[in-house]
Amino acid sequence: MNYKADFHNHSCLSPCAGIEMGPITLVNRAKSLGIKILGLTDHNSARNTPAFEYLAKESGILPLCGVEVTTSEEIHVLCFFPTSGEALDFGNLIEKALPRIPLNHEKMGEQWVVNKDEEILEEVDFYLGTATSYGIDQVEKLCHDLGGLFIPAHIDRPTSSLKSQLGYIPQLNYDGFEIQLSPEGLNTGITPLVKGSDAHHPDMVGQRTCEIDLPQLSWEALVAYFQSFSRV
Amino acid sequence: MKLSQLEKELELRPLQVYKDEEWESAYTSDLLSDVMGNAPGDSVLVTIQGHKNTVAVATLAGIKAIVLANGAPATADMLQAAALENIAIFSSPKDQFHLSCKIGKILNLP
Repeated sequence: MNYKADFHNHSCLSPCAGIEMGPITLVNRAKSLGIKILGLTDHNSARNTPAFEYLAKESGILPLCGVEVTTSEEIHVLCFFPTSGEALDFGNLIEKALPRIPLNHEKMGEQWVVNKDEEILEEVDFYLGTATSYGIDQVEKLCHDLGGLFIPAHIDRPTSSLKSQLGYIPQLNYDGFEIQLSPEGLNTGITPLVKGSDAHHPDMVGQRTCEIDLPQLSWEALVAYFQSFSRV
Repeated sequence: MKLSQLEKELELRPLQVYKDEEWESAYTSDLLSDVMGNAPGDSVLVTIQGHKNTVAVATLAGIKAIVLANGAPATADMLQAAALENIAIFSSPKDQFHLSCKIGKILNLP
């Protein structure tokens, strides 16, 4: 069966997203658009994945608990995990690899951690929007060691992408690539392409989606889907 | 030193009207996280990153001017953001190395 998927969304934890982008808003908006596979990928942190995971499951949506990691080369990479547990473990490692640049609300934005009722639990007080000290190869290893899916983000974008930062695709174990600008017809033939909204505001959720054919709606079926492609 | 003196000595082309502020040091990098973490305040940034994210980082770091090396183009939204933030944008056909050497001489770096 074909399921509508949106792999790439931010919540109020990302400095570039507002407080209105809570997990309830994200999940409700996705539900109303018929999205059944939904990614939460905040910048360099997974602290909002527990609330997101609970709410998505309640709405019959497969939650993709993820992180959008900024590698030392300033390449954005989406890493997804079976549950918020692994996502939080991964997020902790990623946060530790960030420089401690104090968060400046006026210039950088806000970074709220919330629960499933969208009550504020804490704010991350160092800036999440900058680069970690991990190179892309190290991020791939950390992600796969925790059973994750490793998908470089918006590879066709002129900034913060494999294309803009390296200009070539290094030999790594990619599970897929996220494309943003390319037409639907683009096909690598070997590595699956996915789409995501990169939503920072509620209106942006669902602006870019793709269809994924799975025997049932589960993490295991999704992993099997990615593994059914031969790799680069 | 004023930015207008920098413009003259490096034969830079201003991409729009700018506020002639004082500057006292410089930084050269194309990795914006490196600029954010290490560029000094009241400085001039030499880079090929001609987009609005460069202006955002320059604002955080207290950078007064961005010199786009190698003739790198500036996007329209970069110029718009720079005008709002009072950051001068210059262009030069010379590369980062040559521009940095010249700035080093102006600053009498050892």
